[in-house]
Amino acid sequence: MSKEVSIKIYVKLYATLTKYIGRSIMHEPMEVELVKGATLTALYHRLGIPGDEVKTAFVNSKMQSDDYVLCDGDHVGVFPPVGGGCS
Amino acid sequence: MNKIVRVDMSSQKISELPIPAQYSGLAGRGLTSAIVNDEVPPLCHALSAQNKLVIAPGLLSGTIAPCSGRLSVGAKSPLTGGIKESNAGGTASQKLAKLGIAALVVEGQAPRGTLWKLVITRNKLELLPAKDLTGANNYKVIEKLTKTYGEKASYITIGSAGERLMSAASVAVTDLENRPTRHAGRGGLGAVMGSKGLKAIVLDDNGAPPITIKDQGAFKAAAKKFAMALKEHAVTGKGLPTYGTNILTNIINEAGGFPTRNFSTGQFEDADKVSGEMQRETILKRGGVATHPCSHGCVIQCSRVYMDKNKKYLTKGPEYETVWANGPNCGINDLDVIAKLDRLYDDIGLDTIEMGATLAVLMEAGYIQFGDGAGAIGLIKEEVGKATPLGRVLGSGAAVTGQAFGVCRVPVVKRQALPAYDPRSIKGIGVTFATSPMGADHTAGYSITANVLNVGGRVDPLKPEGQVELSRNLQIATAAIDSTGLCLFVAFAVLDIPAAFEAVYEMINAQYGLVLGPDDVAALGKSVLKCEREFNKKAGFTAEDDRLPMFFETEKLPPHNAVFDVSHEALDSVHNY
Ligand code: SF4
Repeated sequence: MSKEVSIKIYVKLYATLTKYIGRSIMHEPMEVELVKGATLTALYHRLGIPGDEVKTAFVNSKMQSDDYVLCDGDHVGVFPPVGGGCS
Repeated sequence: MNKIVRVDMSSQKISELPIPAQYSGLAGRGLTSAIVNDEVPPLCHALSAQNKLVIAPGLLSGTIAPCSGRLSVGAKSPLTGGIKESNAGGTASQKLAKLGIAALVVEGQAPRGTLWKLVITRNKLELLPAKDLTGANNYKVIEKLTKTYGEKASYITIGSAGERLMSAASVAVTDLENRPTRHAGRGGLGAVMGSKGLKAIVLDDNGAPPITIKDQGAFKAAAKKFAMALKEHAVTGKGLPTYGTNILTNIINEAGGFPTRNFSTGQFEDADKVSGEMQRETILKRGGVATHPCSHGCVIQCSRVYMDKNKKYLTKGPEYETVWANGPNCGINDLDVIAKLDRLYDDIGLDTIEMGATLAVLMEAGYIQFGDGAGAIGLIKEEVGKATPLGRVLGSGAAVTGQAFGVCRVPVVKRQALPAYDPRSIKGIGVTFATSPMGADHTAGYSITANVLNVGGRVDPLKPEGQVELSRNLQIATAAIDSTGLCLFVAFAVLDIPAAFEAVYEMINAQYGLVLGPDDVAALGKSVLKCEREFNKKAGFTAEDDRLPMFFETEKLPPHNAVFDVSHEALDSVHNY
């Protein structure tokens, strides 16, 4: 991938999603290189995460939908359905 | 459930009366709030003989309805000065229901220097002296009572904080392992119980007949439908059982709404160290239990059993709000420190949220440093546990501590500490914190669902639009659910799966021979809120009490640099229904 057409982003997967990178827990974000213009869907595809297992994704702390176009240096956090806290 | 048991602590007389017609169809929070509103003089001192402690199981408690073991405890709150319903899991609710008791009303005040226990069995109601339990904390109390009444009984108790009338004192309920880990924590109801001179309630339902169900077939079918929906929903079927409530640490932190170091920023650099994922690993490595029910018949099982470094039992959970309050909110990144604090709170009988918020305010004052876990443990054990003058200040909660130490940033509404979600970057929960009759309480209308978790719709957490409607609808639904005895966590499924919602009123209909529909559920919720607001009004609350502390409107919270900007007019419209 040549520099001009690729971007580097930093990804953290949470809860059950870490199994797709063969881990039970992720302490540090991992660097992922993608083609410029790649969306969150493309990221899930790259990491082998079935789209229907993703419930919520944050890019730089803002919730974004699957068609969000990633930018160089973005920090991404991806979650399966989670909940709790109301008891 | 056809009787109200009244215990007059002044004369030590107990009476049993059939439930009056005006309360038919009420249970749980609906009933505790109605009795408090009808019988407690709103201007009375919360620790005086005029206040009443009302304990009630929910409509479905004691049946096979999944997750129906929640207990409502109500009174005028010594913390907020308003009406309070605080809710706990554990085994007591189902036992009360099986004993036929719709509500237990503890009134009057025992003569000074006397302490009592109330023992309820199938055929007997007795108030007995409990001098031997004076000053004992919850684990000791349970150990002693169990020698007499056995492991199968259920215990509702207070620790030393309740006896010493601290405004952050909780009412403890034993869990399935007979440990005092489930608390009606909020609002200082432990102090109300202490002010009555009542140390413990023992519930033994041995030999009690099963609950009457009018239409067994329909009830079973609805309960099955409900259980299936709870299993099917990703949050109640998978997320909560796997990681417990602390699964929220990472997502609230990612959303920038994770109040850190006394609400000074919205993200904690070490969130992963105290996250639910980390907690699960730690629990499993030490031979704890990572999926566990707090009461019979829970199919979600969000509870867990936490072991210390030597693989010995330390405490339950801890739950997300406890982890947050005593961890990141205090700059503490060590789960073991948080678990030790949790154990101390359960033992002394204190609200984990109020106490964590109090420690953070004290840290803000510079009395100890943010991040000082050993200092925090020492203060709770040696000061609050021993009721030193400093301990009494801390045990009175965040508002009093902030006042005593001259701190401006004190995160309370109606003098009750804000839980685990920053209202500047998650505005829907801010509306609930501001307008709930309970004071700042996330459970009163859990807007985190649509604001962050994408459950029950989606409302942008950073914009003021849509938050009032979201909070209003959730406050109404919650007031109804809190009356059923169902654990509020069922709401995740109820909000998303129509069959789950149907099953709730179908179960109630089958049990009581009623024909309720969805509109009746909303009407119930509204009437509960109306009654609670009526009490607060008579107690002196005005619209200005339905506000967040002003710093939320003026101090920007990183990373979004957001302020709370839902207008006061909009807040005043929340309860227009
Ligand atoms: S979901 Fe959790 S809090 Fe609710 S009843 Fe089950 S174990 Fe208790």
